[in-house]
Amino acid sequence: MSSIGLLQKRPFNSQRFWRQNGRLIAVYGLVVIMALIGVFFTERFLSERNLFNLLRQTAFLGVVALGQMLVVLTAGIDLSIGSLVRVSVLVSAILMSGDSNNTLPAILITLLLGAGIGFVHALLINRLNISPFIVTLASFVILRGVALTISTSPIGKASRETLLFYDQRVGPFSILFLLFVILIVTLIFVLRRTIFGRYVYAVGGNQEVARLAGIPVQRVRYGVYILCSLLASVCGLMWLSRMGVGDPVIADGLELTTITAVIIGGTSLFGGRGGVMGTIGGVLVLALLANLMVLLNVQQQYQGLIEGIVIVSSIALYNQDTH
Amino acid sequence: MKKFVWLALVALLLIGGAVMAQDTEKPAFTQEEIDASPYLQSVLARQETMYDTSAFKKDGPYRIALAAQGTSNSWSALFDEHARWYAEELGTDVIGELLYADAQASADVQVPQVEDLLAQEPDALILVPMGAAALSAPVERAMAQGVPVILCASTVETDNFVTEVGTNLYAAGAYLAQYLVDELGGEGNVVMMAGIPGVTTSDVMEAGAKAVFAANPGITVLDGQPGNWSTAEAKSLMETWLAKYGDDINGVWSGGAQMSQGIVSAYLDAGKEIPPIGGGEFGNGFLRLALENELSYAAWQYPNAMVTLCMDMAVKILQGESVPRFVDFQDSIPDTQYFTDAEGANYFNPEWSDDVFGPILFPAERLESLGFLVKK
Repeated sequence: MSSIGLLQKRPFNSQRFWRQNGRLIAVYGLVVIMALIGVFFTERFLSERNLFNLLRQTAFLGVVALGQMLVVLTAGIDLSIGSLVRVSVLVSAILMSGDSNNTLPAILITLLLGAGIGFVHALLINRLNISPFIVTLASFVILRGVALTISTSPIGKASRETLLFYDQRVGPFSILFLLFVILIVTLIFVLRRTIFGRYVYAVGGNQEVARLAGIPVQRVRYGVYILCSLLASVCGLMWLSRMGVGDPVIADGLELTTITAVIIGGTSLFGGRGGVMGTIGGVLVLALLANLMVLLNVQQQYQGLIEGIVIVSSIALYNQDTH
Repeated sequence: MKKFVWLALVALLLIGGAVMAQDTEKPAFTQEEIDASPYLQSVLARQETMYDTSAFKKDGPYRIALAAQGTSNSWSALFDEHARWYAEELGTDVIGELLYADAQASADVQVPQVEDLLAQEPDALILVPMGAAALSAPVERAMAQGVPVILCASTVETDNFVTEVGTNLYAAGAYLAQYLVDELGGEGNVVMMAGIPGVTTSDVMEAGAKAVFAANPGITVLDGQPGNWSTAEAKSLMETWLAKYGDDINGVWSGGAQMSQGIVSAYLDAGKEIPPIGGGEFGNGFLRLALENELSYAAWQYPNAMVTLCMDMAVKILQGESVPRFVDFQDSIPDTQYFTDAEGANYFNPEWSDDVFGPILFPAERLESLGFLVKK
């Protein structure tokens, strides 16, 4: 091949383009269709208040979905997310007790708790060679029990600052949404531009090959499980700012919702494939769906059907892409 | 003439005595009970307080948001149907639009839904709170946004709302317990089956019942466990109690008719005589079972039709009328009083399916379209 040939621009190949970007196009296409439904079939979809609210709500699912995505990229799974969010809300509410002076210590202890639980998950998976499914399923049950042991009724209280934080805005955007955007940008950078990011994909792609290539598989696992649990605790703190009290019944089934968002976004449950933008697409699909159900006054019997159709069709598009 | 004067004096004394006797019977709760129950303090205080709604006054037609439990069971399905029917009855010149959100019986789902509803800037919010704590901050935010909040069928932790429509749950629990005390002549053993622990309705009813049993030293509470408002769990629990206590159980207190159905089923399977039950409701399945087995019971009510009263309150608030901070549906909706087996037959409707909770205010055709009539 001549050097001139190498310099020549490769002709556009639509098949290759679809193979590389099909999943993202499919999920964001769905987002656009849903947004258009909102624009043309509801009065207030585009109102400033609704958009502000919608973006703020994406942050709640988005933060934990990104944590789940990191774990899934390494061919793992975390079923304890909902229970950890619940425990984090309770612990932070009790530690704060409505006192402003306790805000920072309560936040730090809650984040440490989350990181610690993620460390234990990775420790058990690495050292005892137990599958992530079993470790995090056990954790799911134990943390639920812990939450109910702490209290069966609402307990503790957020400080005034924590409560006010929920409604803070920078320009037209919720501060929670902007922090979520910072998290997105950071994770995109980490996964695309750092060695750790490349290792995450390598471990998920083929763990044995990664190990033989000298990649510290166990350390990568510590990293993703700690980050995932840390983000679950962050979500718990966000829920505290939303509700103002520790409630032992929140975040029920959240782990499954995060897995749904990750799958819709095209991340493979077998690891090694997927990414931040796809997961954000999945989060947007679920958030838009919930928003439209309310805006369109949809009854529950149809909600389940519609949700099912949206999820199955988005995954079907993903499967089409893989064939 | 003297005779008439004397008669008049005697009559006045009798009336005065009766009035005084009535006064001495009040309050229905002891000061100790009131002091021990923040719920009771709140309800009693709010019943006497009016909310000045002039700040919310505006011209109709109104956009009213309903954050409902959702069609997770027959009670809530009929609640929603009552809401739709009543909006039609009031007409579009009163309720121009009824915004609706289905919480799927989950506080997690309801919190963002309330935010979605508020983003549509409704004139008023009717909320069936799925969690007293979880919904407190959203209620405060709604009020801060200038949207009056009407709590329907349950309550929240904050006091910052306009009004609540429901009934005194503490009194309902106490009534069912007092029935057992009276049936047993103040002497005997009872078991207590509450709903879901941590849920306000369940906890408060149980507290009311416990206070009555505690005030009657002849009554021994053998055991108390949650039946989680589930017929299957209630049956299983009652089977365990029957194995453990056998014929020592003289009465059963239950925090819901679905559990009472499980209790009755356990007794029928065991072939034992069913003791008096303090825990019936205007639920057609329970009433049918009660008539077929000639049960002795006392019943309270929690009608899904109360949503019509919640909608009335919303309209009144938007028209600037002052409203009480607590509205007991017993005072406004007919056939929602407590009753016993003596009146049970009047409530049972052979045309309704077992899962209908009455009273039903809308026409039978709507009930039929929902599949709640017995197929002939």
